[in-house]
Amino acid sequence: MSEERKAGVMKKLEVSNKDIPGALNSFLAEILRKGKAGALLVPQKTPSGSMVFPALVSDPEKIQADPLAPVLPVPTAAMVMTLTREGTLFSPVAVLMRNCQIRALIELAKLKQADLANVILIGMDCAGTFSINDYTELGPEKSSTALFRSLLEGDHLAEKLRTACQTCREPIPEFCDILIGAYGTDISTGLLIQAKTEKGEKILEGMPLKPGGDEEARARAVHNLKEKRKEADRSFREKYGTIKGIEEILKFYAKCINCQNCRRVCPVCYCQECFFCSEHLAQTAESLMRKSRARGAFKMPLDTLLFHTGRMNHMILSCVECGLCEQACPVNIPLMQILKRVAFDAREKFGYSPGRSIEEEIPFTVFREDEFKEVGEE
Amino acid sequence: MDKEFDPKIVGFLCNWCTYTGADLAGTSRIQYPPHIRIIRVMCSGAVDPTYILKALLEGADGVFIGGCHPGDCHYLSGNYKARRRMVLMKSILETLDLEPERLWFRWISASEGQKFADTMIEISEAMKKLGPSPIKEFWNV
Repeated sequence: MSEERKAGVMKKLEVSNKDIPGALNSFLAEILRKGKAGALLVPQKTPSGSMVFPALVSDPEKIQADPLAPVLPVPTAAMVMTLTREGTLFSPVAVLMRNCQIRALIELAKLKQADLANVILIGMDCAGTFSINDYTELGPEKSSTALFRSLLEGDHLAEKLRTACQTCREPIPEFCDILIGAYGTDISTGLLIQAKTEKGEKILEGMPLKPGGDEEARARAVHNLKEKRKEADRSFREKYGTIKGIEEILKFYAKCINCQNCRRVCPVCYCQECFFCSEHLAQTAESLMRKSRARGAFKMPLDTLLFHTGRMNHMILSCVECGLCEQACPVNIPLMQILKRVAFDAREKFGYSPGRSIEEEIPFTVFREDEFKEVGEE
Repeated sequence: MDKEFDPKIVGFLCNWCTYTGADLAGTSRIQYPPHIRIIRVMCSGAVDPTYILKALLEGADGVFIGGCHPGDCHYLSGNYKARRRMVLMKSILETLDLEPERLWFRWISASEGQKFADTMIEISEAMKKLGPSPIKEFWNV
C-alpha cells in the first residue's frame, strides 16, 4: 500500500433488474475467477439468512456476499490481522470493508500487527449499521437492499442506527485500492467503482465495467453527508459532556460486570495477552483482606474503573470509534458517550487522527524533543 | 482540635535521577514532609499509566512521577515517552473531570536533592489545599 496513491477515473458497475447484490457478487466472483486474488474476505449471509459474518471465500461458486446488509458483528480489521500477523500472505486476498474497519486496519499495520502487502482493500461506502439485535429483527422483513437504500436516503430507519454510525464522521473510504461508491448515484442502475491505487487499477483491468459516474454529484453527496455527520458528532459529544466527575463516572459504569467483551471486540486492542487479564492485577486473599480492613469495604470483582480508564490510556489514540465495544456490551452501557469525548480531546492534544494515513506515526511510537515543554516544568 | 490532613502521595521515581535525588535529599538531611511513598522504577518511561490510575483509584491523594531531565535519560528516550503518556493521561482525566491536578510530573536529577525536597513541599501543600481524594468515599470503584 505504500505505492503512489493516485485515483483512477470513476467507473460504473452496472446493476440489472435492480439486483445490486447480484451485480456485486458477479464482480467479486470475477476477481477470483480471473485469478486476481486467491481468496476474498467478504460479509456473507449465514445459511439461515438471519445474520451476516465475514467469510474467507476462495471458491467463486460459494460467494454469497451481502455488503449491503447494515450490520457489523465483528471487527473485520482483526480478521485481517489474524491472516497477516505472521507475515505477508502468499497469495493476494481481497478484503471488502467498511471505512471504520479500514481505519482500524491502518492502525494495526502501523503497529506492525497486520501486513497489507498482499491485501487488496476494497472499501465500500457505509450507510451505517444496526446493532446485531436490531438487525436480526429488521433483516427478515426487509431485504438488505431495501434497508441500505432507506439508510442512504436517510429515512426514519436511520434513527435506529447504532450511535457510533449516527455520529460517524468518516463513512466514505479514502484509503483503499478499490472504492465502491453508493452515495451520489442511483444505485438501482449502478454502483460507482474507482481504482485508488495502481494495485486497484490492475484488479479492475478487464473487469466488466462501464464508463460513467457523475463525479460532481458524488462529491456533493459526500460533502453533504460529512457535514451532517460532523455536526451529529459534535452535538453528541456536547450532549453527554455532563458525564464527568467521580460520582457520575461510577454511575455510568455501574452495570459493568468486568466481562471485558468491549476489549475483545475492539479492532485496535491487539495485545495477545491483555494487561487486564494478566497476573499484574492478581490479588492474594491476604491482600484483599488487608484492603478491606483499610477501606472498610470495596466492590468485587475489583478494578472496574481501572479497567475502563486504563484501557483508554492504552488504545484511545487509535480508537476509530466503530462502537463495537458498545454493541458487544451485555449490559448495554452506552460506552460511546464517554469514549467519543475522550478520543476527541486526545486527538486534539496530539494533532493525530487514527486511520487517516499510513505514514502518520502513532503518537506513542515516537516523540520529539521540543514538545510539551510545560510538562514536568511548571 | 481537628488533626491536620496528611495526604498520601505515591511516587514513581526513576532509579537514575529522581530516586538518587531523593537519596541525596536524605543524606544531606534536607527536611521535607513525610507524605510520599516512594516506588523505585528503572525509568519514568517504564511506568504504565495503569499503575498511576491504580494508585489514584485506590485512594491516593496525589501521584508523583519523577524522571531525568529531557536529554538526560539513562535509556536515552524513556522520559520523552513518559512525557507523551502524561499528556494523554492528563487529557483523559480532564475529559472525565477526575481531578488531573492530583497528578504530578517533574524532572529532578541525581544532584538536585534540594529540588526534590522543594517539590515534595509543593505537592504536599497543594494536596492539603485540595483535600482528601473523594474516591476514598466510594466502595464501588
